[in-house]
Amino acid sequence: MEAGGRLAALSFLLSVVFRSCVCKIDPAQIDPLLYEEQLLWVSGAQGEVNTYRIPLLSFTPKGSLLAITEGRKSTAGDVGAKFIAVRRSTDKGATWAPTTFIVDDGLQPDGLNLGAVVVDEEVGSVIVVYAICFHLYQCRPASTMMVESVDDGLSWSKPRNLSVQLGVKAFAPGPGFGIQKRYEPAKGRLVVCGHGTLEGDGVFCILSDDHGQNWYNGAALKSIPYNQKKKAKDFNPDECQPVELTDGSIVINVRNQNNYHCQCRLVVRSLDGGLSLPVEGLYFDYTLVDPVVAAGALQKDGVIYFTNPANEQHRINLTLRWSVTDGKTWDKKAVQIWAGPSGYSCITSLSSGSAEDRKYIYVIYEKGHKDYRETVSFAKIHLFGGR
Amino acid sequence: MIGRCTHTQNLLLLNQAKNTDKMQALLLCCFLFSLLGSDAAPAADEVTYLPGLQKQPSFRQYSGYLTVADGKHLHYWFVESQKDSSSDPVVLWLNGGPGCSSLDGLLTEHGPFLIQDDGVTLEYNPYSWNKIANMLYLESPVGVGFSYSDDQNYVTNDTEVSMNNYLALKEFFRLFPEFSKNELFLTGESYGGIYIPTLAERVMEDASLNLQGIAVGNGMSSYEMNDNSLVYFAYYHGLLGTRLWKELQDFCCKDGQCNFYNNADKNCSLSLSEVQDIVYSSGLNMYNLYAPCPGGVRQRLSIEDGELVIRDLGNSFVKHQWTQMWNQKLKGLAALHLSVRLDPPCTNSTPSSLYLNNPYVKGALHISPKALDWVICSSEVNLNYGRIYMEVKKQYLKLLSALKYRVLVYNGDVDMACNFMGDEWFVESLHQQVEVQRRPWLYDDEEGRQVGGFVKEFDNIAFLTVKGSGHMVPSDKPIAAFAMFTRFIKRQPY
Repeated sequence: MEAGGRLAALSFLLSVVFRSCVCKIDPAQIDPLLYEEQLLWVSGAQGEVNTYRIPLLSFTPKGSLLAITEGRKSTAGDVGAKFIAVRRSTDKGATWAPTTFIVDDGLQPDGLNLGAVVVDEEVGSVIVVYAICFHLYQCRPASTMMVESVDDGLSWSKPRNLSVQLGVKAFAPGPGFGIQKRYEPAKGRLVVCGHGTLEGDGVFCILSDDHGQNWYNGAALKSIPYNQKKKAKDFNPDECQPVELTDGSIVINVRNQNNYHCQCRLVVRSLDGGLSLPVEGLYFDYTLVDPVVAAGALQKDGVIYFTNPANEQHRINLTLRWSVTDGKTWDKKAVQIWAGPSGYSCITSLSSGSAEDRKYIYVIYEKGHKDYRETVSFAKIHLFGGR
Repeated sequence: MIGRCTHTQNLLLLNQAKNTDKMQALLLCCFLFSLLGSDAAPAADEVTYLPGLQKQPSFRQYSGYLTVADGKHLHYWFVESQKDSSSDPVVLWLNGGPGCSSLDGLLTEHGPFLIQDDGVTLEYNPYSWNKIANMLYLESPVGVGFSYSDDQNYVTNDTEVSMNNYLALKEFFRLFPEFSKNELFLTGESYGGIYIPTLAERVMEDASLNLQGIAVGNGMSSYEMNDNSLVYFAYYHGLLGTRLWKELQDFCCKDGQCNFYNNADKNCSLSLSEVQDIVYSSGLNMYNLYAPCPGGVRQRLSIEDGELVIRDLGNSFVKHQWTQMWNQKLKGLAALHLSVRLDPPCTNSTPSSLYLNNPYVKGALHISPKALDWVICSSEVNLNYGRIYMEVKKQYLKLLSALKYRVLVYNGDVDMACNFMGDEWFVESLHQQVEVQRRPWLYDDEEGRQVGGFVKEFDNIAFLTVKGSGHMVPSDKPIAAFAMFTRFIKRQPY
């Protein structure tokens, strides 16, 4: 009992130190440095997979890193049969276990599409949500699927079809990560956001208040005109990445599919844990110029990080930006991760609170010399200039 | 227009030449060119009419001889691809033995037509490997099937065989130069596990041959691993029982390491002879544990109609004294008998023999009068064969170090001749970088999506099992085998 008491006291102390620590970072301190980089997948290499695309990156409850990506079996296109490929690192990204294919959709003409990875830290699970038959090519209807790992990403459950709970709708989660709310309102809730078909597009979030057992439809920010053919410059929010701010609000950084208003990202905010996305809060972030792509975003220790190929036309110039003002302004010293072709990206970090884990964020992105689909690369970024 | 008169060319001619005389002149011209043509398929070898088929095929096929070193005549049967013969790969296929004929592969495994029980009829095979590849079936070495040697010397060994197979390939491409730029794959089964990598070792040195990869099915890769794994396979498939298993553990194993291969312990050797008897002589079908034995339970050695019939290819437990004594005995008996037949156990080769020895068939296939009657395996070749390679690790490592060949080692997982575990251990022992961890692989059949087996992918080499299949994978699991073959030659994910 006494030992238990001591332990409890210690863990309380630690939690005080780590959680409510002097977590605010001095903006002047931030000086990101590309510290290490390695290619996790090469299209055409591992398992003769034609193209590896749509990489996701996540921490795990036990402090491992999971890289997850689509293995497009025979073509580079979005449609077609695929694997979900996973690699795992237990040493903060220094080494990675060989690829495992955790889902194989066989010869499906319109197979799976990633996807969002979401960690439930309360129960220690990792969930991957993805779509099948999203393009309704030689199949119907589209379904939203999930697989779950309760052993830190070593093994995965059989796929479960969530359409039973959500109703039938073409929903493409992410690509990126979903979040578990760490602050009120709705602390503990899983929030996975994504988009619809190009016609019935918009940002949609699905929510679970019981660790992924049951899912229901949450917020929607619909395109205009909704469920109708779009024209250039129409309002068409698409792939998106939610992050939770320390005030408990969710900020969603969204691909502006038809370049409505600007060739830049649009941002929308939920104040009720993903139930609604009031249009009043929507704004266009002119600093975040974008060639219409899925981007990465992360909130760590009160700083927002953002990655995308920063270019109005082309998917090149993968750039890391940061904001100490919750995205209202971005530091002028953006850091270029890769000048050449670069596409989708996703950011994560480990949050044990240890000094080491405070120093790094990890970025996964599509990287190439002639074409961004050539490889999937993992980058470890030292936030404080390597010091 | 110089070159072979392909079907398309003929069709073109037919379409263009409305005038019959003109057409005949063109056809004659084409015929003459084909006689002259040094860059043309050998017209004389073309199989123009094959008995046993309801309808003659739409693809071209050739049968004849590839003559190599000092009057050795290797019979080949080449079936062009049903898809696009000009661009599809050329795939060499070798059955094993040593001493068995690759026409068994053609007529009972993955050829375009399969022999029926009546020994007369051929039925088209919807899962033929020539649906997507130009398949070259070679009867090797001389003395096997219709292959023969002018000097009738059929004593040979691994080194000589790999050299002659290489020379035969060269000769093939000399006769069929239009295929020399196509991708080339070397594939085989069983003792082909020795033939194929030792041949590949030579082919990879020859820049004029466009080698892309090799595939070996239920291959002999290492006698040691084959013997060692077989004992586990047999015990854990319920064949040995606890008494024998305990003896094996007591006499053959130390500190968790078992040596069933060349253990000097007399008691171990004795226990292993029991294993050998159960696996190979108790009436089980060693090529497919769960299949019945065609012909019923028979002896390893018998005399039928004055003929000595051997049902043992001599590939297992070669290092044990009783095996060596048995081989001596076989050779002695074979010398005494006028007629000796080597039948793989539980294999019905009667339909193939009936068909291939039919004079009309032999005529259609341009079989030389000097060739012997066709039998599935040659006892003369087998009994006198010089086994030089006890493993082919070096050959695989050489191929892999070239960094460009795709290698597939696949195993039907209920075969006991070359069981899956021995080959799995062998592939693991190459210590290549793992690219994708072991996983089930899928294919579709009429029932829906099926697990074909398991696959583990290393850098440029994959080990793959075919679930529920015996030694002859395309015979037992034709749909799965075709899916696997397609993905292999097209460099698609398994």
